[in-house]
Amino acid sequence: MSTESLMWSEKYRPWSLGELVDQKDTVARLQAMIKKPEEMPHLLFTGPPGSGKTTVAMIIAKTLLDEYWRDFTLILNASDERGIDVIRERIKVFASHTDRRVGIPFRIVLLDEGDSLTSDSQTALRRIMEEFSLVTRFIITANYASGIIEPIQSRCAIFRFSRLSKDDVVAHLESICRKEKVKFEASAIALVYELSGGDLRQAINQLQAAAALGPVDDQNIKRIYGSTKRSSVKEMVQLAAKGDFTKAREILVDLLFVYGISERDMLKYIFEDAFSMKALDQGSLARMMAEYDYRLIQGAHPEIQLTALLAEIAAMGSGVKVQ
Amino acid sequence: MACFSGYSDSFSRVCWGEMGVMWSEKYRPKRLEEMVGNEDARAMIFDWLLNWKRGMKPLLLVGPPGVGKTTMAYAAAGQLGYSVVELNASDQRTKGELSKSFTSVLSTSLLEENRLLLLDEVDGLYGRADFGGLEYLAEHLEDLPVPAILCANDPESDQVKKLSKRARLVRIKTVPSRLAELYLRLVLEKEGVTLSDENIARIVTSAAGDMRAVLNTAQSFVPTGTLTTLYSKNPNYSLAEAINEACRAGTAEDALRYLQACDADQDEKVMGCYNTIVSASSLQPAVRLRALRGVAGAALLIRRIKSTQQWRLLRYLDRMLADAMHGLGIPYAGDPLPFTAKVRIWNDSKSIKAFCNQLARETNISSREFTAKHLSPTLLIISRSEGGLETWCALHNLDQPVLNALQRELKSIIASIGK
Ligand SMILES: Nc1ncnc2c1ncn2[C@@H]1O[C@H](COP(=O)(O)OP(=O)(O)OP(=O)(O)O)[C@@H](O)[C@H]1O
Ligand SMILES: Nc1ncnc2c1ncn2[C@@H]1O[C@H](COP(=O)(O)OP(=O)(O)O)[C@@H](O)[C@H]1O
Ligand SMILES: [Mg+2]
Ligand SMILES: [Mg+2]
Repeated sequence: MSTESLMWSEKYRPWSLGELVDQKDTVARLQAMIKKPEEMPHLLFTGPPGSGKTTVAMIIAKTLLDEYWRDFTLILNASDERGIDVIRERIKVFASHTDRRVGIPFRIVLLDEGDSLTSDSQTALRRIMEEFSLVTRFIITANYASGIIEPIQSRCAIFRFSRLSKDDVVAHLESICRKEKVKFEASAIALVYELSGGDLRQAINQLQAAAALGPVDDQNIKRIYGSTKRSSVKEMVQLAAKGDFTKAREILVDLLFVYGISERDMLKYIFEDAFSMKALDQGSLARMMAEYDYRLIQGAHPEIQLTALLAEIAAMGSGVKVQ
Repeated sequence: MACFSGYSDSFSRVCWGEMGVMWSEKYRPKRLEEMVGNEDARAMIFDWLLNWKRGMKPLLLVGPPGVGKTTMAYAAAGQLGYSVVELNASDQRTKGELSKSFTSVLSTSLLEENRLLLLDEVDGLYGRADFGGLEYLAEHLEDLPVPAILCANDPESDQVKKLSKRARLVRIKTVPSRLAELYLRLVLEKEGVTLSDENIARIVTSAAGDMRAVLNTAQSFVPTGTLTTLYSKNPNYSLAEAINEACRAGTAEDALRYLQACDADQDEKVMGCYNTIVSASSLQPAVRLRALRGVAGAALLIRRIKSTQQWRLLRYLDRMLADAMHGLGIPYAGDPLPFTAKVRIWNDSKSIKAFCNQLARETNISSREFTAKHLSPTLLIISRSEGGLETWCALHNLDQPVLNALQRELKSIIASIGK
C-alpha cells in the first residue's frame, strides 16, 4: 500500500484552497491573486508545522500550471540535500529555462522549509530570483520569517499561516473519523489538539495511530503521544528539573545517537519545554540557554554542552544557587 | 629534541647489571603480523612495498617512541625479500654524507639483491651538524631507484613538515593497553616468568602505549619480582592516573600538577574529565554543575582554538580542567555508555535514519521533523496495516537489516505503551 493512501494525513491533504481548514485571510488573499497569475510575485509562507504551507504551495502550482504542473515545478523537499551546489546547479538551471509552453505563465520553484538553507545558499538565491523572474516564480516555506535572510524576504509577498484553532481542528478530525468509520470519544479528540498544539499533521497521525491500537480514547492518545521522541525530550527536561540527572542524560544520549536528533532541534524543544515549566526562573533560563545555544552555533562538542545544560536545569530545579 | 641514538632512552631508563639480552630486542617481531596495534598502517606498509615501483613516493612513518616504526620497516623488508640499508640519527647526515651513502646504496642496488633504504629518526636531522642534509634528502626523495621508508617521532617538527610533501605520511599510534598487555603476557610466558596482574597493569599503564618501555620495565622486575618505585615514562601520568589524582586533589593547583604531567591530547583530556563526571551518580547537583560547567567551558575553548588556530589559548585548558575536577573525589571512568547501548547505536541508528528519510520525503516534511514527532505513530500505523511492516518494507525497497531494526523499535514502542 502506498504511503499516500495509507497515511490519513496524506490522504486528506486538501487539493483546493476551498478545502483548507482555517487560514481564512491567507486563503482569501491567495484566491484573489491566482486569478491574475501575471501579477503574482514570489511568495513566502511562514507558520508553524502542519498548518498547511506545503499543501497550499502545491495547490497553487497545480492551479496555475494545471496538468503540466509536475513538469514545470521544481520541488525541493524539506528532506532533500540543499547545499549551495543545489542552488547553483539545479535551481539555477531550472529557473533559467525559457522554453515555456503556451498557457503556462511561468515555472515554479517550490523551496520547502527554506529556513534550513544556510545563509550562504540563501544569498546565492538572491540574484537568481531577480534575473529569471520573467520565467520563474519562487514559493518558499519556513517556520519563521527570521529563518529567511532579509534580502529574500524583501523579494517575496509574505503570507503568515496561523496556528490552527481548536474548533477547526476538532471538526476536521471528527470528519476524518466519520469517513474512516472510526469510533471516538469527544474528550480524546480534544486531547489530540492539546498535545499536538495545533499541528494538524501531528494531530491526524496520532489519531490514526490510536485508531490502529484500538479505541480512540484518552488513554490511547496519551500513549501514542508519549511514544514520540518529541515527548522524550519533555520527559528528559522534567527528569532533569526533578534532579534525576543520570536518567535525563541517558535519554539525551539515546536521542542524539540512536535517533540522530540534531542539537539544533534538541535546543528548540528543550526551550519550548523548559519555558513552560513554572518552577524554573525564566530570566536565568533565558540567559543560560542563550549561552549554550551560541556555543553550539560555534561548533562546541554538542554532547558535552547539552549535558552541561541538563546539569544547569537540574541545579535550577533543585533550587540550588550557583552564580 | 630527538635523541641521537635510537635506543639510548631505554638504556637510561633501566640499568642492566650484567650483559644480557634485552627483551625489547629479543622480542622484536620479525613479521608484521606478530606485531600489535596499528593494524591498518601495517597492512598499508606491506601493500606499499609489495607493489613498489620506481616513482612511488617513499613512506614517512611518524609516531611516538617504541611503537614499532623501525620494526615495521625491517619486518616488511624481511617478509618481501629486501635487505635494509639503514641510516639513522647515530650517523652523521650532512649533505656530503648522505650523498655518499645514497650513491653507494643506489649504485650497488642494481647489481645486488633488492634493497630498502631506511632513514630512521629523520626529525633528528639538525641544522649545523647535519648541514644541508634535510634539503638534500628532500630533493632526492622524488626519484629513488629503491623503496625508502623514513621514520620520525614528532609530527610537528619542521623536518616532518618539510618531508611530508615529498613522502606519503603514515601515522603510527601508541599501542592500546589491552594489546600491550597481551604482548607482554606472551613474552612472559615464553620467558617462563610470572608477574602479578597488578604489576602487569601498572607496567602497562605507566608505559602509556610505548611497547619498548613495557618490555624494558617488565624485564627490570624479574630480579626482584616486586615493584618498588615504578619509573613512570617521562614522569608522566596516564590519563586515568592524572584524572584520579586531580579528583583527589584538595586544591585546583594540586590538580593542575597532575593534569599537566599527562600528555594525552587535549580532546582526550576533556573527554576523560567529561566521562568521569557523568559516570558518577553520587554528585550533588551544585557540585556536578560546577564540574560540568568547567568541562563544557574547556570543550568550548578547544573549539575556539581550532576555529581560530590560536594555539596559545591552549595554555588555559589544563587550568580550566583542574578547576573543574579538583576535590570531586570520584574515580576516573572511561566511556560510560554500556555495551548494549553501543550495539544499538551501531545497529539501529542507520536503519532508523533510512526509514525516516524515506517517509519524510513521501510526506513532504523534513526528516528531522518526522523523527521527532511522527516516527512512532507511523510505525504503529504501518505495522497494523494490511501486510504489516514486512510487506511495507519490501514494497519500499528497505532491506532486511532495516526491517529488523524497525521491528526492534516497534517492540520497544509497544513495550513502553503497554505500561
Ligand atoms: N607494535 C608492536 N608490536 C610488538 N612489539 C612492539 C611493537 N612496537 C614496538 N614493539 C617492541 O618495541 C621495540 C621497539 O620498537 P621500534 O624500534 O619499532 O620502535 P619505533 O616506533 O621505531 O620507536 P622510535 O620512534 O623510538 O624509533 C620492538 O623491538 C618491540 O620489542
Ligand atoms: N490548513 C489545513 N487544512 C487542512 N489540512 C491541513 C492544514 N494544515 C495541515 N493539514 C494537514 O496536515 C498535513 C501537512 O500539512 P502541510 O501543508 O504539509 O504542513 P506544513 O505547514 O508543515 O507545510 C496535510 O497533508 C493535511 O493533512
Ligand atoms: Mg511543509
Ligand atoms: Mg625507530
